[in-house]
Amino acid sequence: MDIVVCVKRVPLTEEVDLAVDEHKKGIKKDQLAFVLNDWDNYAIEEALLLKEKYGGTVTAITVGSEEDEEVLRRCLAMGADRAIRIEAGDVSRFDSFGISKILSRVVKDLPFDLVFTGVLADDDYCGMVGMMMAEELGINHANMVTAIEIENGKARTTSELEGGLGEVSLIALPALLAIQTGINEPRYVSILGIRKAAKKELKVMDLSELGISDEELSPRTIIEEVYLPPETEGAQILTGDPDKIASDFVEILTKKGVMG
Amino acid sequence: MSEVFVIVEHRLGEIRDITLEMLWKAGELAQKRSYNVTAILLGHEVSSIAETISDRADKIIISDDEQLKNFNADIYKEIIAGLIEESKPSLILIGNTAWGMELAPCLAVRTGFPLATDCIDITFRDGKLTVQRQMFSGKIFSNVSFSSSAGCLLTIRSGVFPKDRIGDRQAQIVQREFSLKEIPQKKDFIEFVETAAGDVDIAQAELLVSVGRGIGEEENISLVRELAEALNGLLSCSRPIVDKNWLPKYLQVGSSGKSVNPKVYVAVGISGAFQHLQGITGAGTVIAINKDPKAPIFRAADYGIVGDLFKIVPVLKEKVLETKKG
Amino acid sequence: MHYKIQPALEHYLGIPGLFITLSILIGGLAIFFYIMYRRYLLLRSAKPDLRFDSLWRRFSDLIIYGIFQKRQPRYLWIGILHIMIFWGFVVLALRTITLYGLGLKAEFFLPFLGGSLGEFYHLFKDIFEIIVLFACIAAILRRAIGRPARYEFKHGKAHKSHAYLVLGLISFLMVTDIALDGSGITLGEERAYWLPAAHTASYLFNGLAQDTLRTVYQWSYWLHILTIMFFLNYLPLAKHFHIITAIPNVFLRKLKKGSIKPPRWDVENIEELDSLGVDKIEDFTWKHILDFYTCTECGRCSDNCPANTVGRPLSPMELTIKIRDNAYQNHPILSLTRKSTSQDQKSSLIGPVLEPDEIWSCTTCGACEEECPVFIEYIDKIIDLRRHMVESAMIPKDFQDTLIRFEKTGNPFGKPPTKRADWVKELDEVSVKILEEGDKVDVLYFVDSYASFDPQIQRIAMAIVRGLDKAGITFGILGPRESDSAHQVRRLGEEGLFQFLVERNIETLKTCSFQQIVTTDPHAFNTLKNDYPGNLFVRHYTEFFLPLIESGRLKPVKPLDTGSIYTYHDPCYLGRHNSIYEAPRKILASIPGIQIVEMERARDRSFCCGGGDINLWYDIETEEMRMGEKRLAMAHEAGATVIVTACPFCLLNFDDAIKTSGLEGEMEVIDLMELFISTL
Repeated sequence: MDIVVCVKRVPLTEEVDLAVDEHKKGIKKDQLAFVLNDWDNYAIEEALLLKEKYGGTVTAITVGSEEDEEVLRRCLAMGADRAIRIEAGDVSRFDSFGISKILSRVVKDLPFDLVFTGVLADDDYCGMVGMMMAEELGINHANMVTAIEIENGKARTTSELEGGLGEVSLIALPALLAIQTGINEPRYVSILGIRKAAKKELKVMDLSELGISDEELSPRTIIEEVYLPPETEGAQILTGDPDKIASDFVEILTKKGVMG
Repeated sequence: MSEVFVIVEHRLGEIRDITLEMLWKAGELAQKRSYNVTAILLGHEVSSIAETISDRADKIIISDDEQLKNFNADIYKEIIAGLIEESKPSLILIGNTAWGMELAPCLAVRTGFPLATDCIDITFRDGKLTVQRQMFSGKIFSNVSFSSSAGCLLTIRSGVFPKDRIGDRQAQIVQREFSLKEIPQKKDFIEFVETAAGDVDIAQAELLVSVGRGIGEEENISLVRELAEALNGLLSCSRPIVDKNWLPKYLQVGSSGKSVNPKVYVAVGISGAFQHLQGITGAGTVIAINKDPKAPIFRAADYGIVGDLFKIVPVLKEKVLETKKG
Repeated sequence: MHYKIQPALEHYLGIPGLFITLSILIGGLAIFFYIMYRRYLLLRSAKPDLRFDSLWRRFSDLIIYGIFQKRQPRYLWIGILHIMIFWGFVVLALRTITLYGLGLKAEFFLPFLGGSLGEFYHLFKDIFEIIVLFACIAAILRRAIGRPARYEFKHGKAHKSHAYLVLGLISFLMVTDIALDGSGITLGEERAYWLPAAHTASYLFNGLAQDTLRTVYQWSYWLHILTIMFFLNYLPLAKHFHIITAIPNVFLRKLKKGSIKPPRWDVENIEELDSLGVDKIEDFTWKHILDFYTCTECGRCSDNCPANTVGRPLSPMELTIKIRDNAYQNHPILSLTRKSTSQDQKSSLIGPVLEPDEIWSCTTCGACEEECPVFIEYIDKIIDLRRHMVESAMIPKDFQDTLIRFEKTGNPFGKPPTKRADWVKELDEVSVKILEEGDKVDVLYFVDSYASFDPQIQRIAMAIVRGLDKAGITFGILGPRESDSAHQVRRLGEEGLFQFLVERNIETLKTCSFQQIVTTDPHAFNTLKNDYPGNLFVRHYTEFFLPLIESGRLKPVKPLDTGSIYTYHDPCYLGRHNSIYEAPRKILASIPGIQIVEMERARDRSFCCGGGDINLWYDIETEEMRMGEKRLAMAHEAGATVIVTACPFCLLNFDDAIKTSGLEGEMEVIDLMELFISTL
């Protein structure tokens, strides 16, 4: 079972106040820490679990600069067999179309039974690359996958629908699955583990090797500007000392008839 | 006249709200830009669904076939691509749902059209189509435009547009048949599964106290549970809590969990990611407690308390118990 | 002294006594050395340890703790009983040798015990035999009737029968020697002094026929000799191995309290190691295995272990005994199949022998190590086990997120490092210098993560800064360039991350010059002092401020509100690990009019608040009560209304505990520095 997992390095924004950069087309990144995209973390873990069960190899792949190798090292430390980085200059000039074209071109030449991507990336929240790649590669696909079982060369997947509903499908391999969070518990990999993984294979390819025309990579969607959320009306903030706030709280609930 | 395609999403014989929301927006755009609104309805035995939307579109293209009984992105893609080829619509709206997110990108590559997902508004600036979407878990908004192309694909977030009827329409029904044999059937639908029901149904609750990532550790959840109990309400949660296995899935509120409509919804330590907000669009009054004044939840809530939940929640609980006693 | 019967010369069934003695000696010792060799083999297959430094100190500690048994009376009465038995052994050793000698040569005596000295020794040993016999009987009764709880095992089997066996054997040895002596006297042997035991026995034997007396004499003798040899060989098989190993174990004890051993003493670069930490018994160092051999199952460690007290799965004694039992099983004295080699035995400890939660339960408070009379170490072992678990990804998910935040942002909250010094903006009266490269100050104030980001702890930092300012000290903080001290990271078992953060901090420290480092919390103090390379001169704020208070530079004047009764809680990392007990007390006492009480468990018997590492991020489900609540109850019992802490984590734990025990209004917690500053 050979699995290729597409991963992305994204900023860690949980506790951070973001600021817009001077061009207003992106955010200020110099003070941010970067991590492996949460969805991709689940994806690589799932690939490793399948490898542990069925044997085979796991390859991690990303489009990015040297700094992005950090997430590939993490994947290797977790247990991936090899990693590929596609050097493509300033990646922000590509949109999902471009990225999926680049990834597909590389993945096409790799032996695989499954290709995993995360459903979305924590930064742009687009969720397009996975399915686009499936279409580019012309292979079967499923989205929002929360469970996978392999039986007789087919994947039995459960996709998460809305409202707690799941959809079970049977897909012939090779296939591309976009993995949803919560499917497993990604393993921790220590600093030492990552340092040791430096010995594993990390190949760098250049975009120019792939023979994709500029026209194919030109962005279809253009970010005109980014901005912080507008100050809308929003909630009425309760103020005062804790006791006053608590009294106000109880008053609201009483008015709504839920205080019993 | 330009057309706006709206792909009808329906499941188990019922139309889904997102379709109505998209039709509203399409209708609004149609008014401003003289579009025709065409709904694409693929399925099996869907005449009642067509009925529901007959006054919301100018045309409904229906393909009623047994093979279309279950949603299949590949089949939908081929049919819609064919229809796009025929009618050349300027805009194609698809729901930003599990199915929509599978269909739209494939369709984009198939047709070569640009695609923007999870749009929360559609406008025209200087005649150019622009959509508004969010990034970084809702902390950043962006305006996106498109390279010139015959048409644009957009997936629309649930719950941002109203479900109302707009304008006065009477749809022309067009029945179509497609030779589905040639479309390679890549995925076999097996069945729907429901997450375990559990002993409580938060969708029926009158009052919910919901806990989010801000709670920090599993053991602290008891703090929020106690408030819920003091109020005779139920405990619910956001997705990260379920991902960590701290609470069962049937307590999850949100687009991938349950939609709830309590009279009062208290959100404790929940940032307000849109997937969560989608679950509470039906809630009466939303009270949010979060230490970050900029948390998106405060935009969606009616009342807010900015502060440390570990300090506030016990005080609230005490006050509630005090009031109930006296 | 002349003996009426010479065992060496007697014949038994035609065999000369000499021959029998030789057989017992040679045979017994051969078996003994074989058993010891097998025990040694396990030590040899273990990892290296460095224990032969500071020889002078080791020798003096050996006298104090080994010979004078300084730790025994911490449990007073049984401690005294044990000292009696131990001293009995020491004194009777010469008698034992003499007895064996008598089996080899008639009228044998040790060179210096010939004349009057020998007679005096004979009296001395006689008295001791009474003492030892009394002690053994008291001990047996205490065990059988009193049934002290600390001997019981919560999970698994205690080996209490061995205690009875040994006490019985020792008593038997005393009885046989007294009988030997007594019957000898009745037979007509002369003694220089009146021997209380022997002469009493001889009175009892009065009236017995000569033949009977001779029989008693010889039975006593041979039984005594045999029993000693049996006893000797039995020792390495069970918990009384400590009789042999305790003295070396005390000599080889860990001198540097508070520090954590490196993953391997013989390998500096951890990247060269195939595996980190301990998975199998052979991954421990030989000294740690010696620890396992030496455990006496006295239960003092578990009795003082806060984790054990609140119902967590950890009981230090049981941990040791489980590992020991497993080791003895896998490295048996007699291998019936083939020689057991470590390669054959893929015996993982974690899982089959120890539960993960058992290992995560430890708060590294050091109470166990402080109690153990034979200086068994626990903390290093637990950390080594954790290291393995971290490398094998056997860690709870909650830790993962925290560790990633440490790595990416240098603090466990995930907050951007640029905001690390934001708290100084709230200080109007004092301007805090954020050190740049090349700056020179007297004091580098190492704030650490919690004081930088947690609002409650920021107040302590502000108090410290006010104190420094008032005392006229030039100081600075590293601000955004400071990374977490990594104390918790190391004790969680993430050694790679620890080294990463330490290296970063060391580099940053090199860029400025300062006379000393002062820390907010004892954890940072402990790790900077004991774990960081380079012998940094670092002090906790209590030790730093005390001289300033004593010299009058900082004078507390404002009285506190009367009615509050204060008690000081010794934090583990200030107290036990670094022996700082008085400085904080003196600071507290310097406040005019303050009413102070001491808790029963104070100083080195202080009870951990719950801990300042894993406790913050992970919950042990089986806990019956939180440690903070337990400690708070102790303060309450002592009559205190305010518990004073010198550690931010103690503060947080007690603050929590006040709320969860419903003692709000009755009890308060305050940091020492905050309290002190308010009186200036």
